[in-house]
Amino acid sequence: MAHENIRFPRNHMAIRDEYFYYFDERNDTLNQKVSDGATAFTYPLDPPLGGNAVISVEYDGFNFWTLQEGNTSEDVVIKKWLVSNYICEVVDTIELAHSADHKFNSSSFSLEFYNTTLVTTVSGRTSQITLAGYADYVDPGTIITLGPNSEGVYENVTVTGTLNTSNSFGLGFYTFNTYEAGTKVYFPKSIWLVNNFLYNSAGGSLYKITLPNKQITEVIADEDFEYVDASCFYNTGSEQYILYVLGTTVRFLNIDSLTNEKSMLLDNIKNDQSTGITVYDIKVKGDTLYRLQNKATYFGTDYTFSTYNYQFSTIRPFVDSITVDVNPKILPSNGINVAEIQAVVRDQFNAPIQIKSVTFSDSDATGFISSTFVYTNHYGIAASVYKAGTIPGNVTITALTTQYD
Amino acid sequence: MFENIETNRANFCVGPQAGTYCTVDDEVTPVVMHVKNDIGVIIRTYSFYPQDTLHTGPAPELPLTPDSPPFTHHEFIAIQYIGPYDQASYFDGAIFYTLEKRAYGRRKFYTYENEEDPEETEERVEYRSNIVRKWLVDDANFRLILDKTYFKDSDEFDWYNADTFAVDNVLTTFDWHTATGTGVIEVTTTSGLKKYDTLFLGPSSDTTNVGEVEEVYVHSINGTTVEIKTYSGADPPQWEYMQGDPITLIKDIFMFSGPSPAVDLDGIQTGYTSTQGTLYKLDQTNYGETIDRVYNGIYRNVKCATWNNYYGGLSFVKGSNILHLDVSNYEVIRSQDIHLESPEATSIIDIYGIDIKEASILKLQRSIIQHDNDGEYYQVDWETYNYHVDTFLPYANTVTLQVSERVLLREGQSFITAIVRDQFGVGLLGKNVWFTAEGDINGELTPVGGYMTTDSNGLASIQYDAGNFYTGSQNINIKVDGGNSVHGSVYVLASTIIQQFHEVNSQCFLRAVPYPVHEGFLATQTSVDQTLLIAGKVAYTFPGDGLRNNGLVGWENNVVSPTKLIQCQKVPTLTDGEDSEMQIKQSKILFSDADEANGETTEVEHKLYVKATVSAEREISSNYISRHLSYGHTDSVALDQFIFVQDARPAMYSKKNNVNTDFWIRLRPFAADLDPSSLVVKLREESPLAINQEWQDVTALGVITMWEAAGAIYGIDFFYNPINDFHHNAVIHIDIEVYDTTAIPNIVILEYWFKIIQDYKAPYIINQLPAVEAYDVVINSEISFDLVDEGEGVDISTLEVFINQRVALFTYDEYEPGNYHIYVIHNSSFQFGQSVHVDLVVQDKSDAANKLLDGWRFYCVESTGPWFDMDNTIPKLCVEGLERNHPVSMQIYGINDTGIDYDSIRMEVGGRYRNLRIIPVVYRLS
Repeated sequence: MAHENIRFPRNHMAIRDEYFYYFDERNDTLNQKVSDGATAFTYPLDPPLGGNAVISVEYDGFNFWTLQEGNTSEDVVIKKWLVSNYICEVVDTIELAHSADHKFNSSSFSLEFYNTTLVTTVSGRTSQITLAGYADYVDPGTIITLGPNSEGVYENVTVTGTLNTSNSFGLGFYTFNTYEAGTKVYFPKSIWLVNNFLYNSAGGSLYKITLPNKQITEVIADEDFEYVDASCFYNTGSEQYILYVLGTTVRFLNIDSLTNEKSMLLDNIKNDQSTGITVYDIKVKGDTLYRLQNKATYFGTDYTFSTYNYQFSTIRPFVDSITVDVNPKILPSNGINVAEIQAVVRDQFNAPIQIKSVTFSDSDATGFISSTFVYTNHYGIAASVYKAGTIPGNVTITALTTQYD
Repeated sequence: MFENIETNRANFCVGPQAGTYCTVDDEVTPVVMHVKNDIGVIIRTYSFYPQDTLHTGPAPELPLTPDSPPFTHHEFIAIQYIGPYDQASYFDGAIFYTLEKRAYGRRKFYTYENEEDPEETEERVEYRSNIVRKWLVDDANFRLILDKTYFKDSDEFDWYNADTFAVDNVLTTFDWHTATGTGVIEVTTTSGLKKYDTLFLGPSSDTTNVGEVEEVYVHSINGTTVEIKTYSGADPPQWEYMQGDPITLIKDIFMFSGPSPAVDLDGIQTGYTSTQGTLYKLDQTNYGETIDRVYNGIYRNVKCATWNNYYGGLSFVKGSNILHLDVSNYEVIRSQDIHLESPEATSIIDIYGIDIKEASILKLQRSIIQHDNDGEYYQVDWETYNYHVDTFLPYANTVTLQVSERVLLREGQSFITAIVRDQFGVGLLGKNVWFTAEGDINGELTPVGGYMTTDSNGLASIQYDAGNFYTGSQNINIKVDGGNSVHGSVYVLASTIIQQFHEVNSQCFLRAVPYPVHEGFLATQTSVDQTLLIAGKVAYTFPGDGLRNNGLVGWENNVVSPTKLIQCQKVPTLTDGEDSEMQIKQSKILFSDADEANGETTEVEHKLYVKATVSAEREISSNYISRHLSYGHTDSVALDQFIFVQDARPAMYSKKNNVNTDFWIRLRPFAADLDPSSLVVKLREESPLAINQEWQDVTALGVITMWEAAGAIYGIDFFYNPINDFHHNAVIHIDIEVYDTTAIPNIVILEYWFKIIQDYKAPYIINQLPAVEAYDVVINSEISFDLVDEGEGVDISTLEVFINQRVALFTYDEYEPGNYHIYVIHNSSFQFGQSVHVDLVVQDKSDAANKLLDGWRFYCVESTGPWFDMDNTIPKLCVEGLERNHPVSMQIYGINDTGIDYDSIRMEVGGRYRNLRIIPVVYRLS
C-alpha cells in the first residue's frame, strides 16, 4: 500500500545508521530492516524473549535497551542488549518490581545517553581519558564505552573522578586497548520511564532511574503520563529533552528544569481533523522526528496499514497552522460596520511565526477587506478589517498562508 | 512457479548422486525415502530396514501420561546424507542419518490466557527423547539398512526434544593412490583430524574395486599421512583407491534442544526451567554419548540445521538469518540473511530444512519471496515443499537510503546516501547505483542522472534539490546491480520518501471575470478544444513572499498582465451559479512566469479552479492542520450579515440631532430571542466640551423592553434619556453588545454614531446697567451687564469690553454654566453730561465660535454750576462802617457737581477787580 515504508509487525522501533530495528518475540530475534521494509538482517536473541513482547526500545549508540512487562502487570523489566558476533545478547537487566512504594506499568521509556569522542589517544593500560563533550554528565561510577578503535575493539571503563581538567576523568582500572583520539565514547545516564502509576496508586508519572546504580532518583507526577505511548530522548547538544506524545502533540520536557519548555503539533490526525492517530513510538534522528504509526493521513486521504510504519515530522520550525477569527461574527449588513479579522500563524511548536504573509479573502460581493495582504507581527498575528456588505447573508472570511523555506 | 523437487513432506537432503534430493515419506507404510530430481520426478525409492523403524505413532491424541514408560509416540524429523556429492549413482554404504523425537505422553499446561480462569489448562504431546540413527545404503535392494541407533532420553540434567540436528563432517580426498592393507592413507588435508575420528573412504574409482567404500578410524596423523585402523581388526584399507577419491571425515553429532518444562506439584507445566536452548554434542563413535552441552538463547526453537563444509561449521536458521557456528568455541563466525521475510509480511515464512552443498544453501520452503526489476515484492506459495537456493558468495542483498533532511520546503536540499550491503551485512564496493526521484518534476539530483558507484564502505551519496512548485511525497528510488537473481532480479531496489511542502499553491483561484465574460463569474466554453485566454483576479499564492504579485494580478483594468499570462485549455462545460469553489475538470493553466531572475520564462501547469458566488457554508474557525493538504495553510471563518437594527432614534448615523435628544433603539433577533440580561449599551460623547469622553455604560439607566419580532422570537427595545443634554456638534457613539439565547450564544456587536446639531447662535447681552440709552446717569455709576449664550455658553476668555473706545477691565461671575455677569471696572467717574459708550466683543464656546459684537450707551447728568454762600460773607451783607482795609471774603461751593474752576473766580470790589487769595475749603458732609 502506498505510504508504507518499514512495515514493522511490532509497534516499537529503534534507528541505527538509517536501519530500523524491532525485537520479535515470536522468533526471538532483533530484526533489521531497510528503508522500504526489506529485511536486511536478523540477530538471534540470547536469552530469548520467551514470548514476552518488547514494549519499547531505545538505542544509545552502542547498546539496545528494551522494555518488557515483568512477572505481573505491575512490574517492568528493562534489558540492555549488545549486538556481538551476530547475536544480540543481554548484558544487563533492570527489574522494577512492584512494592509497597511503587508499581510499574509502562508503555514507553526513554534512555538519556550521550555520545562524544576522545580528545586524546588513550594508550593501553591507561587510567585516564579526556572527553570532547558532555563531561558535565559524567559522574564517579559512570560506565563509559570506548570504541571501536582502529581494530574494531570496544571496552567499558568505569569513571572514578575528575582529574585536573573538567573533561578528564580517572578510571577505576587500566584500559586494555589503545583508543585513538576521536574514538567514539558512549555512556547512558538515566532511564526515564513513563509510568501509568504514581508511586503505588493510579495516576501517571515519569520515573528517572539513574545509571549504572539503577536507583529511582526522581518521580514526576503528572496524570498526562498515564496516556503516553511514545517517548524518546532528544539531545540538541546544549539542551536535553524527553519528548513524549500526548494526543497530537509532542511535548519537550527539559530534563534539567523538568518543565515542558515547548510542544510541537503533529499531523497524526485523520482527514476529518478530529480523529487522532495513535503514535506508538518516536525517535529523533538529525532534525527528523520519526513516528511509528499504523495509520496515517497523506494529502487529504486516510490510510490504514496492516503494519507499523514511520511518518516523519521535522523539528525545524515551519508553518504548521493558521487560525483565523473574526469579531464580531454577526454584522449588520449596513455597509458600514466592521469586523476585525485576526489570523494567527504558528509553527508546529505552536510558536508564532513572524513576518509571514497572510492573504485574506471574503466571499461577499459588496463587503470588503481593507488589507488583503498582511504580514504577521511579532506575535504571529496578521490583522485586517472586514467592512460589512449590504446584502444579508453568510460571508466566509478566508486566510491563506504558505510555506517558504 | 519456481517449484523443483515438489516433495510432500517437510524434510530433505542433497543426495550423493548429482542432481538428486532425498526426502522421507513417513506418511506411507512402510516409510520410504524418495530420491527426486530437480523437477520433482521420483527416480528411486528406498525402504528402511528394519521396515517399521521410522513409523510414526501411535497417534498423539491417544491418552498418554508423561510418566508411563515405555515411550508411546515418536515422529520422524529429519534426514541428512553424509558423504561425497555428485556421484554417478547411489552406492552401497552411503551414509544417511535420521532424527526422530518421541514422547512419553501428554502434559497439561496452564494457558495463562484466560484471566478469569488462570487455572485453565490444555494439554499437548511432550517430547522428551530423540533418536539419531545411522543408515547405510543397500543399493541393490533399494533400502537403507539401520547401522546404528543413539537414544537420547531426557533426564534430570538434559532435556532432549530436538527438531533438527547436524553431523560434523569434512569432505576431503585421497592425496595419493592407496593399495589395500597398507594401514596408511595420504589425505589432501588433515585439518581437524584427530585420533579415533571416523573416516569414510570411497567410493573408490580404482578399476579393481569401483564403487567400494569402507569405514575406518584415525589412529595417528603425520603430516598428510594418516594411519588408519578398523574396529574389526582387519588391516585397512580394504579396497584400493585412486588419488582424488573422496574421503569423508565423520565427527560429532549436534542437536538443538529446548529447555525442560517447569511443572507444579500437580505435574502441570507452568513454563520452562530456562529461557535458553541447548546445543548437544554427541559422540557418534561412542553410542551417541553426550560429550558437550552449551546453553544459549540462540539455540532455542531452532528448526533447521546442517553441517557447513564451506565454512567448516554448524549452520542453523534463526529468524530470517542463517548463522554459522564454529563448534570449537561456539562462536558465531558468520550470519547471513536468507530472505525469509517479505516487506509486506508481518511474519517470516517457514523454512523446513536446509542443506549446504559447496557454496550453495538449499532451503526447503513452501513459499519464497521474490522481487521484480521495479522493486515490487511478491510471495510465491507452493502446494509442495521445494528448495530455494541461496549462496555464500557475496551479492548485493540490501540497499537502504539515508536521508539528511526528511522534510523539505521550497528549494530545500537533502543529501541521500545509499548503503549497499551483501547478505552478510558487509558494504559492497563498486556496485552501480542509480538514483531516481519521482514526484516533483522540478526536483534535481546531482550528479544529473543519479548514477554513482559505491565506495569501499558500500556508500554512494547524491544531492537532491527540491523544486519550487511541488507539495507532496517525493519518492527517492534507488536501483543497485549485483543482486542475486534467485530472489527475482539482479537488481536490488529500495525507495524512501521525502515530504515536500508548500511551494507554490497548486490551485489558482479564478475569482472573477474571465474573458469572454459570462454571467460575471464563470468562464465560457465555446468549443471543447477551445483555448481560452483568461484575465482575472488570480489568487496566486506563492509561498510567503510578495514579490510575485501575490494577490491582485491584472484585475483592476481587467487586462492580462504581461508577466502573468494564464492560458486555460480544454475548458469543459461549466454550470452557472455554482455556489462553491469548483475545479474545472480536465483543465490546466499554463502559468508563464517571466519574473525569474534569469529572465527565462517557465511554464507551470496547474489545475484551474473557479470560484463562483458566495458560499453557503457556515464554518467556524478551528485549528486546521494542513500539512497534508495540497495547497497552503488556510483557515476560514464565517460570519453572518443581517438586519440587526429595526429602528433607532436618533437614526443611525443621523446628523443635526437636538442636544436634548433621547436615545431609543429596537434590536432584531437573528434566529433566537435576544437575551436582555446580556445587553450592554455604551455611549460615548465625542466633543471637546464634554467633560467625560469615555465610554459610559448606560444600560442600567435605560429601559429595556422585549418585543416580538416574529413567531415568538423576541427582540429588544432600549430607551435612554440622558440626564444632561448632549453638546452641540458632538458625535454620539453607540456600542451595543447582546447575546442571543441559542445553546452556544452568538454575540451581536453593533457600533454606530449620530451627531448633534451644530451651535449656530452667538451670545447676547442682557441686564445692562446703566441701561441702554439711559439719561442723567450719575457720573460715578457702575457699569455691568449679563452675557448669555443659548448654545455652548460664552467663551469668557474672548470677552473684550471697551468704554468710549478704551479697553476696560472687568470682572465676572458665571451665574450659570456659560452665562456670565460682567462688572466693568472704571476708576474715575464720568463727566457731567458725558455720553458713555460701552462696546464689547465676545465668542461662544462652540466649534463655530459664534461672535457677538455689541454695545450700548448712556448719558451722564448735566452740571448745575457753583453756589455762593451768601450767609457767610465778610463782611456781612449790608454792613456799614467798615474800615477801608477790611478784608472781603466769601465762600463758593461746587458741591455734587463738577467743582469750581479755580481760574475763573474773579471778585470785583468797589468797581475794581481785586487780587484774590483763594483758600480751598474742605467740605465735609455730616
